[in-house]
Amino acid sequence: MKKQFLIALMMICVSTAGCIEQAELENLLDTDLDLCAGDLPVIRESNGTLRIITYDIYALSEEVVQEFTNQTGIEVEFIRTEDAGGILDQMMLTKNAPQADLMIGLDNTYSGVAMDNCLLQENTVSRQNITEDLGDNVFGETNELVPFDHGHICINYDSTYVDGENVTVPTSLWDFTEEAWKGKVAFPSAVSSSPGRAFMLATTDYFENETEWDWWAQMIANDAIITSGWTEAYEVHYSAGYGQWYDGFIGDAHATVSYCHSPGVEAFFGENYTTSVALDLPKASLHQIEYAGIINGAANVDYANQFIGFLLSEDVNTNMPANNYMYSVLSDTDLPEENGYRYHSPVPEQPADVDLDQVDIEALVEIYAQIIA
Amino acid sequence: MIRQTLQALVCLAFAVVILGPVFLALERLTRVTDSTIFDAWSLWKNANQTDGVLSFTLLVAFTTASFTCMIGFWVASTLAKYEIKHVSLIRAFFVLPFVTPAIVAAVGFLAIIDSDSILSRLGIDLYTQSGFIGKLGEVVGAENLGNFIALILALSWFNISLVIRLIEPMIARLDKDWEDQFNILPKGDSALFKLRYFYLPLYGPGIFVAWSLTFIFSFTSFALPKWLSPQNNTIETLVSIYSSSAGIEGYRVWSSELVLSATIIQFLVLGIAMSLSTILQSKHNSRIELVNENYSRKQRGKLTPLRKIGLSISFIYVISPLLAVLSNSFRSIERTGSETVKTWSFDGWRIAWRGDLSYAGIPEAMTNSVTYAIVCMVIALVVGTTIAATIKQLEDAGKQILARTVDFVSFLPLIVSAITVGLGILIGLLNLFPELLNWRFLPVWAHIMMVCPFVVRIMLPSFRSLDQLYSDQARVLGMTDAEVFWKIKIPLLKPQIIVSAALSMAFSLGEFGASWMLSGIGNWVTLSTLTDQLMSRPNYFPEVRSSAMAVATCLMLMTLILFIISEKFRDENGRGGF
Repeated sequence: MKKQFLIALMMICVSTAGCIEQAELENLLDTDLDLCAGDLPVIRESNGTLRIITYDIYALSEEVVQEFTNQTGIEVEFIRTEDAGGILDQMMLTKNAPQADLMIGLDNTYSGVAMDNCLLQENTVSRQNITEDLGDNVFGETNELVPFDHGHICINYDSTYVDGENVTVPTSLWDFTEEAWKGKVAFPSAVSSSPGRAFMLATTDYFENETEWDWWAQMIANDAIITSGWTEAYEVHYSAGYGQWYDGFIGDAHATVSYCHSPGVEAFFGENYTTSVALDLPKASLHQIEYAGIINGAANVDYANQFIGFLLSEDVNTNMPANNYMYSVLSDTDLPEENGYRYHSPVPEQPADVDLDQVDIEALVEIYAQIIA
Repeated sequence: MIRQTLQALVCLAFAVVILGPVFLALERLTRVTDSTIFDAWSLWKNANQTDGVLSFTLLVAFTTASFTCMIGFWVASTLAKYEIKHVSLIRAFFVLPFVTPAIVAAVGFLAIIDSDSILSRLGIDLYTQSGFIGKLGEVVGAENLGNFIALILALSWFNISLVIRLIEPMIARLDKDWEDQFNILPKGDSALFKLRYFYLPLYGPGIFVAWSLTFIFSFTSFALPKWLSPQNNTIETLVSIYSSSAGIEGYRVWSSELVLSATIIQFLVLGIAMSLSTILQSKHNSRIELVNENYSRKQRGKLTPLRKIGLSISFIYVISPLLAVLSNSFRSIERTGSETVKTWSFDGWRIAWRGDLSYAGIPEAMTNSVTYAIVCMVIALVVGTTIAATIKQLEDAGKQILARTVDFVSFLPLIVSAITVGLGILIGLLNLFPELLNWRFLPVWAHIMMVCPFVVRIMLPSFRSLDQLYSDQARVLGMTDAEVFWKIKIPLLKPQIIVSAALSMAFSLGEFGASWMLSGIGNWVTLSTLTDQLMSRPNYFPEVRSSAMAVATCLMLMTLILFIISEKFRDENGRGGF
């Protein structure tokens, strides 16, 4: 009786809400609003504070933000999501009622969706100090996206496991499907992690859009460890990462997907000690660029422009390698040589060449999700 | 008439305001996915990430409920039957876990099973699942057996108090003469007959109520599976992963399909469990003839040595996670090159207080938590008490079906789980009223939803046991209805009101699932989400874990104080409820 009542109640409420609020819902939630074509976006209400949506980006430390406030008098507050995907989800969810002025952290694998959905607006930030090939917007002629850091994503392996005798250095991604790597490779999921997504895209080029899904299927059959985020894959499972020194370490994977300069970060903070090595296979890495952009409907556009300018200032951006463990986007900068940071950070000779503007990444993610299920 | 109208309005407002967001979310999900709630099963079967999730969730809930009832029954019968010094204090420790925030339990158990913990050193490696546990897993063919055991232990720890609360008073007040009389009957010879014809009819309904409630709470648990079983998703953790992209038209529609189907399936499973629990609850209440507890205990005497050992082990099991949280808040790790050293320090506390590794420090999170808890307590108390009073009046008026309907609806928030409540606010409510995103008290909405059912459960038995004679006599003496309410009923209900208030605050302080869902879209940091936030940060910052433990300790101490207050005012005869 109660169950019947429950179902009936639910049906009534769902259908009633559908009837009564239909017009309002259509108005508020219709995602076909063509903001890019010239309709004015809804401007969010503001209390005069610059609101930034971002994820756990180390560069945005309290000291850095305080320095910005000291310089400009502009107060800043943050909405923090779990990862880059969370930024996009939140922006999509509130696209008709934006909650922030500035987005920091969408990378080139997510930005296409933001651009397609008109979530960002043009900015007035000068790009003259940005390394030439990073400054171009791969998603069109406009300048909604401003890069603030970058790095290459590739497989890292534990050199104590790959000793050259029992296990040799892989020369092909197919090598990871062999017995020696059974249950010993950890991948952050392309569904929920930006490094995972970037590596999945790299494999489409590596396997020339033909056998990438076979390879992924074989990796799953070879007991590859799939984690929801980079932190769990690298810190908990990867045997040569910094996780080995702390609580919560398992260390059952001798290879994982991370940045090609992750071994350099290990060395930098480990007094030039690391057993982690980046695997530089042709077309098995992807150049990831992280962007900042002003949200369509931002209340404090001028403040947002100033913050992006601050993020690109020499004082802040040249410290990216030490503060954010990523490359600076400014011209004539590189990783520091201190403690072997640069030495252990190879730059891939032939990264994957994926036309991110043309690829339907979400469709690829869906196929990927079916395979790893 | 006015009072009845007001009561009806409060009940209606509860149904609309509290449950409305969930229905709006369902409406949105069905529209985005172009399906109906009746497509839930096919959507679930077709989804990519759902393989084994339902069976794992059912297995976890079933195993937890069964294991908890076994352990809980043994502890309850020990506490109930024998003369034990400071039994009230010992019992208080056993029922403490239920008000302990789930995130505190999660980090406590993580500390217990960690690779350098005492348990690991004893060869029971539940975390990396090596050694004996790994081999056992291979033998029984169970992947991640260690994580599964840790999860069951943690969930049982969390729910053991529920079993003790429901069963112990029943056993304590059972007249031993009944057992003796049954023993001399022909069927008293056989243990099987004794179970079939004596213990099962007496204790069965109570145990099954405890079993079904434990099943429900385990089925909807979020913090514990999230942290202790990261390799296997439950429905709740699965929804949490994909909910951030759910409800958005034209974007990752498969995530909306997954969330919709998961929500409906969870709703149905829990609805069935809840219905069974409600039906048996009435039988549970009226089965046993009561005698004085102390009289009953004296008849059986002191604990046997075996019982003493068992009770001591159970006691260690109950307090270990709490001690682990406290002690680990003072553990610091120093790394130089390839060496790490663990030391004792206040660094974790200092960093957590200042918020150096998080978006907020302890003071800000504590202010938010306490503010939410106070607002939640006031509203939940008014709404919950009104609903309980309404149910009682409907019962008195002979409208049993309506009374049960209101009773059932008041319990619905627990059936839809904290994550679904958060989801309801996120994609149901906020899409219609986006300006609410800037409303400081938005998380309170979710807290009230989760807390109200407990207030109703605590207040309803009190209303039922309130002697009508007092009110009648007061009216004869010339008091108005309002005076009867304020001068007669309120003083009589004072202990239960204080218990409700203290527990409402404790549950609000520890609420995690809904708060976690909302933390991704606004600055609503509470102590429980701050603990999770710190635990989620890379361990590259050596003080991350000790800081998380420091925040968890604050949360634990605050709920402990509220628990002590509630226990102080708890009526001995009212021990059989929450």
